[in-house]
Amino acid sequence: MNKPLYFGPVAQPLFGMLHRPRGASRQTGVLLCNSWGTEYLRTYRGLRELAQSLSASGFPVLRFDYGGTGDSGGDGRSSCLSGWIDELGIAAQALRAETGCSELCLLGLRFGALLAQEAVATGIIDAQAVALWDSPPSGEVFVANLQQMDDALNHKRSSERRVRSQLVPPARDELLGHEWPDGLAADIARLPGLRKHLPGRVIFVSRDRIPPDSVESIRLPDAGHWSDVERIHSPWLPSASFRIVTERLADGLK
Amino acid sequence: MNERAISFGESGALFGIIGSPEVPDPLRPAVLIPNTGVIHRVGPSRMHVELARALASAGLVSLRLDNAGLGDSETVPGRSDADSAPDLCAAMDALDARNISTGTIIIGSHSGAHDAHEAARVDPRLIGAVFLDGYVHSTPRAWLNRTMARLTERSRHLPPVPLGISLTPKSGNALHDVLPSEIHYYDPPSDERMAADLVEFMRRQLALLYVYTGDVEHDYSYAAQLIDAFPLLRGYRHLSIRQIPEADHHFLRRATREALIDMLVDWVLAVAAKRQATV
Repeated sequence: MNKPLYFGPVAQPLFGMLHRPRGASRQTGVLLCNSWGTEYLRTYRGLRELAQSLSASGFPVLRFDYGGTGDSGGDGRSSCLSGWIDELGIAAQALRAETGCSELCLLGLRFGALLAQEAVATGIIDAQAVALWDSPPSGEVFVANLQQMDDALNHKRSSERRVRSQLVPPARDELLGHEWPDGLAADIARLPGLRKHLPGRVIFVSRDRIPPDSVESIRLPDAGHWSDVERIHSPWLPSASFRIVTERLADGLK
Repeated sequence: MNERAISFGESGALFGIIGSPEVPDPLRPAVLIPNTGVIHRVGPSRMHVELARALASAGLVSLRLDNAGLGDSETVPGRSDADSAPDLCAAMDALDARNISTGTIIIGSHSGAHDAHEAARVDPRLIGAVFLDGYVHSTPRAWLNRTMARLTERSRHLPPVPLGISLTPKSGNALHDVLPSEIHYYDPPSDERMAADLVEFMRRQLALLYVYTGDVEHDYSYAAQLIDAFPLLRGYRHLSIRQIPEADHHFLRRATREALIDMLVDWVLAVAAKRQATV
């Protein structure tokens, strides 16, 4: 059973989708933390499928759009990293209030993994577990990857178009077609690398990005192809990975 | 401005967001915005959200929806992904039930342009339709332009013409990562069917806006190509055609996106004003 939610600041509410289990609910609620920009768009349906899978296993699940993105209020030009991290705390409160879950697991995909670990490390969220799915090794690497993709996409589009119909140049504060306000890149680049030790369990989820000395991990059969410019608008729907992640979390969480 | 989520259609399987001014005028038309490709209702670069909010600021209601199988809408078993008209008719039913608008204008981009055309064929509640990088029908002059471009710009290869995308791989129904090679493109209607559809649109006095970006310039190479392909459109006073060569079909650059949104809002307001004047 899915329920759309508006929560958080009245002036600029956050939009989320709550997935309630049909039968008995587990004690652990799962907060899905999505990625940014083109990755957010191409993973939207996939994260819905994952949420459906998790809720079918008894987890109440909330996924939501960060302020200034997706269906949430606000303009992307005023987005800031600290605001997004705070919003994870607001979303966690909404999940607890809506479902009564007593424990929390943050499942962050890509940029969302960096945000999730930061929210837990700074004490904004008290979570029993954090699952980091294809997390970039650091904020700096994530930003560099986005900029490489932007360069590649611009080059591709330029080579495909006639001389007289070249795209207008991008503004300094946009990247891959999304708002990229001044200061955001620097803030993201300052995010620390993967934290192997946080309050609660840390679970690395990936096909090929699991740190060798990680305590807990879920090895996936599917690659994300996050740096492939040809797939920048292709849907991400790794159903075998969804099944494995659901089974492992269902085995390990209340 | 208000935004609220709604479920509609059979068993509430479809999902969308209604955007409206604080006090909607029930005598003005609403604007329907279907998906662009497989991107959910927010649109590429969040364009559908920005458009809906600009429409609300101009006093107009909109519904951004997810077609079946996309975004937060359920999949309808056994139905072709190209057959989105039932979803759009259900969206118009949902708007009608709320008594916040009279008549509907649809704005479809990319595969959404195909959806807009299909909806316009079957539902007379539509009073206007916008097709962003929609169907392209060739003409001798377009063929000549294309050939000349090949000769003079030989380093540049021709991009595919994207018209529609399905999440369902051709090989089966199982969900998995969709590879670019597996994406299914809709076929445009034949010249004969397109002409027949246009005759019907004109009979209903449907306001039509065709917008072509630089992404299709290899195929849609001059402003009057649509009229040359379908001379029956010559003199049709509810037809507008715009070319935006500096834009791509996703309107990735903010400058082109904002200019497009301004143009669309102005066009919708003009259609609404004409409609109200004639009622």
